[in-house]
Amino acid sequence: MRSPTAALLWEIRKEKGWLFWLVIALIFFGWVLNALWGGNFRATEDGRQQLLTLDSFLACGSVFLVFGIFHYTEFNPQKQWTGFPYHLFTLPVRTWRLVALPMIAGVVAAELTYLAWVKLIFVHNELVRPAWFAVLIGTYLVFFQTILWALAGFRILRIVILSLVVTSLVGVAFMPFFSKFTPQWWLSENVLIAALAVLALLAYLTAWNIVSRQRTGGGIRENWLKKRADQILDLLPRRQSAFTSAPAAQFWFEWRRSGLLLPGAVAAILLLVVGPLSWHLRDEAMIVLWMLPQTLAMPVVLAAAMSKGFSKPDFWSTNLALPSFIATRPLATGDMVVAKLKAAALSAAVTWALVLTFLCLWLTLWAKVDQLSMLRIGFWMVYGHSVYPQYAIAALILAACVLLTWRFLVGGLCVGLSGNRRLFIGSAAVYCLAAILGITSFAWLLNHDQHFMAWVRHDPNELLRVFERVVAVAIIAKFWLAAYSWRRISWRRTWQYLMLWTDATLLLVALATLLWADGCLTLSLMSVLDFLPLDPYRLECFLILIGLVTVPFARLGFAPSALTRNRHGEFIAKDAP
Amino acid sequence: MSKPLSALAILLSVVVVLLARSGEHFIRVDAGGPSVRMLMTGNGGPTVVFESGSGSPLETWVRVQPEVSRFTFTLSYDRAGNGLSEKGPVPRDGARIASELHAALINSRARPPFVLVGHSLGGPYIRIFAGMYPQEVAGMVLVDPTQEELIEWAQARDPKPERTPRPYDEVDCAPATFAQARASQIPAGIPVVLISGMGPSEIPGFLPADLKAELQKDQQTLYPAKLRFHKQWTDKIPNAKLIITKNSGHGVPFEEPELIVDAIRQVAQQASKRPGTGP
Repeated sequence: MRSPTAALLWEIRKEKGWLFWLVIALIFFGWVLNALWGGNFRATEDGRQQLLTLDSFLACGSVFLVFGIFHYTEFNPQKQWTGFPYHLFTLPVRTWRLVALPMIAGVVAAELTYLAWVKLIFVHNELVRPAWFAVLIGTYLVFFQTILWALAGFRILRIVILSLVVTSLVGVAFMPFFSKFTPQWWLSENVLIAALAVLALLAYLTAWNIVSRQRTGGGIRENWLKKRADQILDLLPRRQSAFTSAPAAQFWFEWRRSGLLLPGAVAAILLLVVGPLSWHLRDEAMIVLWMLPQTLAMPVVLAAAMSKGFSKPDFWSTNLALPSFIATRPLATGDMVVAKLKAAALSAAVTWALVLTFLCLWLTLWAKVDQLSMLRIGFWMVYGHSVYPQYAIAALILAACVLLTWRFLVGGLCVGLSGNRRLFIGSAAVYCLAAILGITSFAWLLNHDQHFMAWVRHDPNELLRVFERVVAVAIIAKFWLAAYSWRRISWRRTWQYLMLWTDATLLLVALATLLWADGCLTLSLMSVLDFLPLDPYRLECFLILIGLVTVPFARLGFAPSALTRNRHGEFIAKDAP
Repeated sequence: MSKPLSALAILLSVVVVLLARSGEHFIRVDAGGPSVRMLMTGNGGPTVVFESGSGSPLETWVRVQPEVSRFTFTLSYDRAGNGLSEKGPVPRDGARIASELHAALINSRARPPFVLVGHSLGGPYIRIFAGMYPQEVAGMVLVDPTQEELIEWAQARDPKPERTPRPYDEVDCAPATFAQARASQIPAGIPVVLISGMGPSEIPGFLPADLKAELQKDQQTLYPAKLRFHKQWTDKIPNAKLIITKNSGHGVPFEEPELIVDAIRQVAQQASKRPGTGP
């Protein structure tokens, strides 16, 4: 290679060449589609919308792929993190250049992709603020790379920060559009472009500084924050007594290694976000109705986000193989799975104890609960002027939330414990695909809401019937699969879990019946969400079916055999990185 | 396969299939223009027709209709512009709503005689229907109906600023509806029951203080007036019966559905005994 630039670009192309071709293929496909059939689509308004949705979807996909090409990271086994490619540190190139090259290459690639879509495919569409979106894409890529490199030592925190930054930047993207409603000078497109340029420059300087430190042997893990945190953790009381049994020791290990994480994250969010926000907005009339469902959903969503990590043999390791430290313990594989289930249960219980404590403080001390009272009056009327059913509903909702949290934590155990990387990534891909399909469907609905709502309104039974059948098939499949997956597990353990499943399911069914309240739920929902018509007669059956499908059964039966295969190293040889 | 779990799977599969097959079926009916959502359940006669209050969908009767459909044929519907029905032509006064209901009944498989059940503003609507189609009505149950005299009394006590009525809003069209209801004649000899909600005696403790005060004020002033006007109206109808309940307020269909079911049963039985109105 004649120059370091050429060497670096060659390396990127070599590593991610197929992704480059995929981006080109997407652009070519979009161009061919619009050139050959664009006229047919544009003949009607519906067709035009469909084509625009498809084009937008393909364009976003290709830009995301460019981000994937230029995420430019490498796993460092010495430091156990994935950050700036450490093998480049030995190149005779100054760090500023080492950092700037992938950034500039990434920005150029992203801009070229965007330009290709604008000039080749979206030629018949009137684009709003094309220059603004071009700047956004470039700066987003710089921020993306900076976060990946700067927070290499913080795997979970990096994901959280990335999510927060992405969410914030989506908001930033809409800022120039607000200038129409509030003519502020800082909302003008030029000012915002200048601000983004300054921020991108700062991001580059930050990345340069941090990569320089990593190159000279330093790193985020050595910073003062980490040291202070370790010192505080060292002061905490430690276990002194001996474990009563090997399963007890394993449970303690699971709890410390992965169970503590969810309560910690929930406590942090309650203290740093929900608490201050609820105090700041305490005088707003509708704030309780707005924040309460989100506060209740937050631990469940976090549990779903953490489920992939929790399902692995070790939360913090990228290796799915069971570590020999655990595999050689004098413990049956089934007991290991039970330890995980118990750790998840304790994690869910502690999490919800924290949420309950916060809710008690908030709702009694500084919340305006008038709107909540209005919601309660319907139930009071239906349940013979008694408030006790409301207390029962509240208690059952709390228990259901604990169950749901636990369910999300343990739902993927059979996949995570198997050690099969392809299965693990494949199952994650299914969730991603479901999310993409959900977003696409939502986008389609936004464009076709009239047709969709006309269909739903024509007979709301029809919509619920579709959902009902899907859930019914899922339940039947679940029970038959459970009969198969639990066949090799001892009857004592099967009976124990069956009792647990029955109790949990009965709890959910009782909640469904109480909530339905002779159709009162339908009226409440219709008054709040008039776009969501529900058939009260079918809703009860549907809620009961949901109760039957929620608590995991079949998948947990597969977990011990999956872990056994992992313990015996069935997948390690071919799948371990 | 685990044998005990296979047995459980068979049992639960049957339960799931039965659950998924249960439920009621709505139909769409042409109400002389707008298409309205309708729920018809039960067998026998006379046909009990439910009319909801202002802005309310047919779900108002979710605690009543299943019970009534055990002994007779029932029909509830969303008026045009309410619930999941299409918007209807303006103005939305009682005469138009009654004629739309009549068209919807003709286009459905419901056949007279009808026992009409109306809640709140549905009360004046069924009175207008009875006046327009007296041959088809065999009985009436008015559930805490909005009485035109009460509205006039309340307006006189606490005058509200006048505003331009919106012809598509059935509440704004209420003055015309009340005038039509006042002019309507209840068919001679048909059984009529009026349920007047005078309760509940206990106001729930969890309500905000201002709402509690408002409810207490209503109980002291508005409710006695309402009862007076309900009584005056039933006194004018030969076969009318007034039922006063202190266990419900205005939400009788939710608070005391059994009271309405009993009233409908009585009216349906009396209607069946009348000559020419058998099932």
